Amino acid sequence: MHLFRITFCALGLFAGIGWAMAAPGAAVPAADEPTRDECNAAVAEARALAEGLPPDHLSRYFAERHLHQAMAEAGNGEFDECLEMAARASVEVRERRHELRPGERLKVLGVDE
Amino acid sequence: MFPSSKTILLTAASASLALTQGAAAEGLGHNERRGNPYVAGDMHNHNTCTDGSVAAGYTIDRAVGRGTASAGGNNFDLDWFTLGNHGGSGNRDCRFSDTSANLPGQTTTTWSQTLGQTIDGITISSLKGTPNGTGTGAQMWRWQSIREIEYPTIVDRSAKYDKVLIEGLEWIAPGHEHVDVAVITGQHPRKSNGNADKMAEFEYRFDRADTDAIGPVIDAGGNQLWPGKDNVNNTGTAGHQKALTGVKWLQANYPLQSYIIPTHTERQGPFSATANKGYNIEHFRDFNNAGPTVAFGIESPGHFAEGGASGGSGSYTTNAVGGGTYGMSGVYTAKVGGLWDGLLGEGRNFFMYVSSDWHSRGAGGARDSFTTADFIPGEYTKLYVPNAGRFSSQHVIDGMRSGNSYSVNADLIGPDMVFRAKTRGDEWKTMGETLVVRPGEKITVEMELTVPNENNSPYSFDNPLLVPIGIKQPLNKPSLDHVDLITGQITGVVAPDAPNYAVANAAGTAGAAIVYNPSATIARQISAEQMQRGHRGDRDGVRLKFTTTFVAGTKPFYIRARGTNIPNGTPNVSDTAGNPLLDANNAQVSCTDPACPTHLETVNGVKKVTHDVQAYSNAWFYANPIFIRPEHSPKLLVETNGELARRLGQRADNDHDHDDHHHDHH
Repeated sequence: MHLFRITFCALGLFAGIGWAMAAPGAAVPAADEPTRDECNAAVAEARALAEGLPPDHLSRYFAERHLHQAMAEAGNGEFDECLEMAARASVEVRERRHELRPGERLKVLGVDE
Repeated sequence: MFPSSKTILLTAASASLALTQGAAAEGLGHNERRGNPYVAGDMHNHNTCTDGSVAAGYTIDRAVGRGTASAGGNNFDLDWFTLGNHGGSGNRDCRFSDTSANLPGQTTTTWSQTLGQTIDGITISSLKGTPNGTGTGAQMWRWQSIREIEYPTIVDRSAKYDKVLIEGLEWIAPGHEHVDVAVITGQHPRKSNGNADKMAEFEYRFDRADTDAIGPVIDAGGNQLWPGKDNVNNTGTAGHQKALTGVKWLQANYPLQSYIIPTHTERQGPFSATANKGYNIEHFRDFNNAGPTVAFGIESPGHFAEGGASGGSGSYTTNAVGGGTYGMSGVYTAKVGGLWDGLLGEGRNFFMYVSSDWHSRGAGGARDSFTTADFIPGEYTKLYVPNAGRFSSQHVIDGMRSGNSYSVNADLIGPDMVFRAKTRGDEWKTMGETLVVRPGEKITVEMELTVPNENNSPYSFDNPLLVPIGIKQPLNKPSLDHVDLITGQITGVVAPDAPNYAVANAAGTAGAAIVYNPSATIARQISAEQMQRGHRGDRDGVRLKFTTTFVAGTKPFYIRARGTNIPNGTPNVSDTAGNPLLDANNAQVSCTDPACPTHLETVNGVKKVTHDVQAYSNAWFYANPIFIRPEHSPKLLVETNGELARRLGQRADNDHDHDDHHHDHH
C-alpha cells in the first residue's frame, strides 16, 4: 500500500488531447451538442484549479481522477459527460470535498502491489 | 415449512414466456445451476473499448469468475453477463486496461500503437469505416470493436467459464439518453463460432454517436454491407423518430432475440424536442407500442457509489428529473404513483431492471476494495431472471421479457425469492403473469425470500444511517426491515391520440411531484419481524415468508413489491410511509465510526455518508408486478403482448423445422 498517486503521462494518449479534426464523411454533431473543444477547455480550467492545491491534498487527487475520466469520456466521443466530469473536478477543488485528518492516508493499491 | 428449492424452480420456470429458439441458443451445464430458482446477471457495464477503465476480458473475469482475481480483488460469480458498452467509437485498445486501473502490466494503449500486432489471439489490421481521428486519437468505430474485439473476447471467456456471456450495447439513442440493447441472433460463443454482426449492425445503423457513413464493406469496390443508414436525424424529435425506427427494426427482425431497455432515464432531465436529453412517459409508450416484445422495460441507474456531499449517486445531478436518486433508484421507478406506475396502470408489459453501469472505482484502482464511483458487475447489484433448466442467452431474454424478474442491491435478498398470487386451487401466478379472478374472491399473495448472511461490503461497522435511531446493523450483514406491496389500478392503454398520452415533465425536484397513477399506494407493509422465519443453514442466511390477502374488485390492478433495510421515518433517509427520500439527504448524516473510510466526503472536516458507504447503508430490492384481472374483462396488454411472443416463438420453431428439413435435402 502507498499513499494515493496517479500517472497522467497517458492522458494525452487515451483522449487524443488537442485533436479536433472532424472525421471526413462522418455526420456532423448537432449544433447544441458539446464539442471536443469545449471539453478540452473545461478540463484545462479544472486542471488549473486542481494544480492550485498542494500535490498531496486529497481533493487534488480526487479532482485529477475526475479529469482522467473526463478524458476517457472524450475518447469515447461523449463530450457531455466530459463536461460533467470536469465540473465535478472543479467542485471537488472549490469545496475541498475530501480532507485527511492528521495521521490518515488514502490507501490505493499501486500497480506494483 | 417452506417448499424445497426444486418446488420453487418449477414455479418460476412455469412463468417464462416464449421459451423459443432452443436450438439456436447456447446453454450451461446443469452443474452450474446450483439449484436456485433464479440466476443473477448484469447487462450494463463498460470497458476500455469506450469509457471504462479495464479491458473487456478483465471485466468479464471479475464479473463471472470465482474466488480472487490473479492480480488481486474479489471476483463476483455472476451466472450470466451481457457486455453492454456504449455505441460510438473509442481510441483505446480494449485488450488493455487503463493506467488508472493500477493493474500490473497494464497501461493505457491506443489503437495507433497496436495495429497489425496479434494480441490475445486477435489481430487488428486497420481501423475501418470513415476515418475517425489521427495518431493517438485515431478511433475504432464500435461496430468494428463489437465484431472484432468484444465478441472474440466473449468467445475466449466462454471457453473458460461455464456461464452465459452475451455481446450487448449501451445504445446512445437518437434524441434521448442511453438504452441497454442486445441482439443475440448469431451469437454462439460456447461453440466457439458465430458472430455479433446483428448487434454490430444495430449499433452502426441507429447509434447517434456512431456517425460512420461507411461501415463494413463487402468487396474491393467499397460496396457497403449495411447500406441506407440515416446519419442525419440524430437529435430531438427527429432523433426520437429514428430511435423508434431502431425499435421497429428489432421488432421486425429479432422480436424474441433482442431487447431495448432505456437506462438512467431521469439523468438528462425531460425530453427536449431540439436536443438529446431524457424521456417523458410518451416516449416509453411509443417504444412499447413499436416494440411490444422487445421494448418491455426500464432500467434504474447504476453508478451507486457516486453519491457525494451534495448528491450524485446514479451519476445524477440536481437537474435530473427528481433531482437525484431515491434509495439508489431513479424517481420514475422509486416513486409510488410515478412514471413506472403510470405505465403499469395501462396494463403494459413494462418491467424494471437494475445493473451496475460499471466504469471505474473512481479514486480507487480496479483491485481496491473501496469505490467512489461504480461497483464491479455482481459486487453490489444483481438482476435475477428465472433459472430455466439448461440456461442460455435466449433464457436471459425470455426471462426479462416475461417480467418474472427482480433486482437486488447489496444482496439484501438472495436468488430464491417467491412472489406469487392465487385465488382458488393451486394455480399460482408470479411476476409478469396475470391472475384472472371473480369479483369478491379472496386473493392470496405469498412471498418468500432469503436474507443472506453477508454481502460484498468491505465494511463491518454499523450502518451510519441507522445509528441515529439506535439500530446497530453491520454494513456487511444484510438485514431486511420490511417489504412493501404496492398496488395500482389498471385503467387501460392510453391511445397515442389521447390528450393524456403525452405528459409534461420537469427537471429537478419538480419532476418528483408528477403523479402518473394516483391510485398507486403502499397497500401492505410487512415488517420482517412479522414474517415466518426459517434457517437455510449458516452459509445461506435466514428464510422469511409471509402471506396476505386482497379481495378482488371489478377493476384490474397490479401488485408489485419492494423491500429495504431502512425503517419508516428514518431521518434523512425515508418518510413516515417508508418511501425513500432524495438520497442527497443521506449526506446530512455523519459517519462517526472510527472505521469510516478515508475516501468519504467531508463537510467541515466531518465525514458524511457518501460513496460506497452510502450505497451499502441504503439498500433496496424491487420485484416486478403480478397483474390481477376480473374474468370476462378485456385482456391486458401484458397478456396480449405475451401471447404475441408465444405466437412468434411458435412461428420461429416452425421456420426452424422447415429450415432443417430444407437442409436435409441438400
